[in-house]
Amino acid sequence: MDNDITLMLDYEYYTENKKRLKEGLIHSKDKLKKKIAVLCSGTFGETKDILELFLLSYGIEPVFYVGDYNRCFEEACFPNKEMEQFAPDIVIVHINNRGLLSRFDEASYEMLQKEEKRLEDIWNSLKNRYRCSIIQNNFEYYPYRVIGNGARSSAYGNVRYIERLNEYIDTYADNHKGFYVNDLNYLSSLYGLLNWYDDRMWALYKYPFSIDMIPVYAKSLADIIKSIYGMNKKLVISDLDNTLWGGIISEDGADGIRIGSDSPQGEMYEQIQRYLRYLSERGIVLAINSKNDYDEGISGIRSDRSVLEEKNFSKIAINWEKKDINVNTILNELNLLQGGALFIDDSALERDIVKNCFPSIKVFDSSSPADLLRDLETNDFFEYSGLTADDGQRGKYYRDNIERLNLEKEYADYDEFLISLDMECICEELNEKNMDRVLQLLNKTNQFNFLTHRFTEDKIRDIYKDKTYSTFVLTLNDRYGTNGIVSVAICNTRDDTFSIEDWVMSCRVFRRGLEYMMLLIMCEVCKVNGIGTIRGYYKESDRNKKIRHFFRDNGFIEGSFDSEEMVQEWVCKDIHGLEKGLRSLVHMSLTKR
Amino acid sequence: MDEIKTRVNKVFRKVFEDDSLNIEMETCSDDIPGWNSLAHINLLAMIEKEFDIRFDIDQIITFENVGDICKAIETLYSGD
Repeated sequence: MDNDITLMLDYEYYTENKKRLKEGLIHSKDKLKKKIAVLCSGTFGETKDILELFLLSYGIEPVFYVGDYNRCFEEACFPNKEMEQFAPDIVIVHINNRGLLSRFDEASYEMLQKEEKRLEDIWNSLKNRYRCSIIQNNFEYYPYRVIGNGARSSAYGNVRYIERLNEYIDTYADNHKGFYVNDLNYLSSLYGLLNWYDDRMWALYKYPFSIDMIPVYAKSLADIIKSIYGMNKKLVISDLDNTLWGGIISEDGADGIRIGSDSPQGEMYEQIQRYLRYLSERGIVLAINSKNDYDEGISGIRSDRSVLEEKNFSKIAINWEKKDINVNTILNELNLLQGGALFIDDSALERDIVKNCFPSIKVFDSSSPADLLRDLETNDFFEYSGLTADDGQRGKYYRDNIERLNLEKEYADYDEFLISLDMECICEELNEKNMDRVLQLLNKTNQFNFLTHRFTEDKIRDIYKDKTYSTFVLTLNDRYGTNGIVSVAICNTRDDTFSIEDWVMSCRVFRRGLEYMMLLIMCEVCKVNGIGTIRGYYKESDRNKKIRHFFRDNGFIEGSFDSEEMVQEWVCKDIHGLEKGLRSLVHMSLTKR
Repeated sequence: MDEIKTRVNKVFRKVFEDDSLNIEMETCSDDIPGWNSLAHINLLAMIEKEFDIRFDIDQIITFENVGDICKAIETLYSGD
């Protein structure tokens, strides 16, 4: 799959290329199929077509159910056979300003209460009936204020009215997982209300906003959907000279480079550094890839004027290697895939080299700092649909990993290295406390993920309640600290068979033997309960080929192949033998909670 | 009028993604597969962009064939 398709935000471009684009995109295989229902207060047809293109370009293949025009409330709140059969993964409630109960002249306390009640009825009913994720637009300001600035300063002026309604939506989102706000209020400000509304299009065709805004709106929806399924970028690889600061450090020295408010150039680079630091604090991993003498290069980062510090970077490659070699090292050491990476460099030559070697890496020109930030911003690589406590720690996890790697080099024997790590595995069941992280891990893991199912909170809650499931949530600690929760398996026991229905492990802990520990834990459960057979399943995706032979390598025998679902079954009936083989591969202690 | 028709034809080809499409003044939505309501909206929007004009609502609701559209363009378009 090529992640490197960038669609434009230009309406004309779609009108002229829609068919061609779709034909080009639909062929790439291995897409995540998702069912999306749309309840609308305006025409959705064109938006649907463009949304589909964006989703396809992100590797998601949507199937749509589009409700009848202006019947949001009825379709959400009353039994709806068609939608029940459709069983949506996501419902988009496409009500914008045009679909409000209150027109621009009707903002009042009573209307606000009515509006809030109607929306909440829609959301609650959708949640209860379909157990789906919900995407709700918040609202743009009305096209007419009538009383000018008074629309904000008087208690129920219509600007203030929209603010209150939006605040209400945000509060609902704070308290309800799986509820996502599509920020139309921001989008309409970004493009300007004068460009946003088109009264003629509304009067004629019930287009809720100008035709030119459709791609912007569709992309925003697609970005939220992408983030729900954990398909965001995870890593930024950045050059130093003329990328993180102005000038060349080997010529200008740490005091001479432009960074910070003492020069116009430095002002711009400071914005970039702030942008990247903000990302790193929110769990995006940063790495440096710079052709420089190490001491010289690092002196720029160590400078008081630099906003970014060494600790913000999980991997620093400042050397005279070719950039593509460094990129390779960075990806390998961090165990990340090229599709999850951005590369920023001011040199066209270096950019081309990286583009050629890594077709899925997103490559950016940093020679104009202001444009760079605008590009990053409009591309929404880092759309965020719910941060877990774990995210803020991610940079540290990766940094610790590099230290482990350095330690590894000191040991000739890999087992000895593993023993030296003093690893401890903590095994617990799924619970309220770890649920967020479990959900995130299930949805974000690509490489060590046997079936690449994606989970909603409701689905995981169903599993939590269902007593036929056993869940294994593993935390790995070692001499460098904790890696956090890094592996999850969801298993089901039926008729003397223990089935591994889902199993994921974070790329952070590859090659530590944790997968063998997990199998060992499963063996024990089987022995205790007198179960004679373990079944594993594998469905190939673009990104999980690494574990294609995992079950065979561990003595499982090829079972049946489900050609419809493309799932290969693996069977182990010799649990005693399996356990014996695993013992020698596991170099960690086990604590059960 | 010929110039207008030629340029309108160009827009038709783009919107229907068909480079062999040739329209006549009498051509209407029955004659072109895919000329549904959605395509109609795109068509008018793209024609407006091509000629840098804005149709009146009164005009839009009376359009029945290519000729109607071209006549409306003629009343609004003053040349480049």
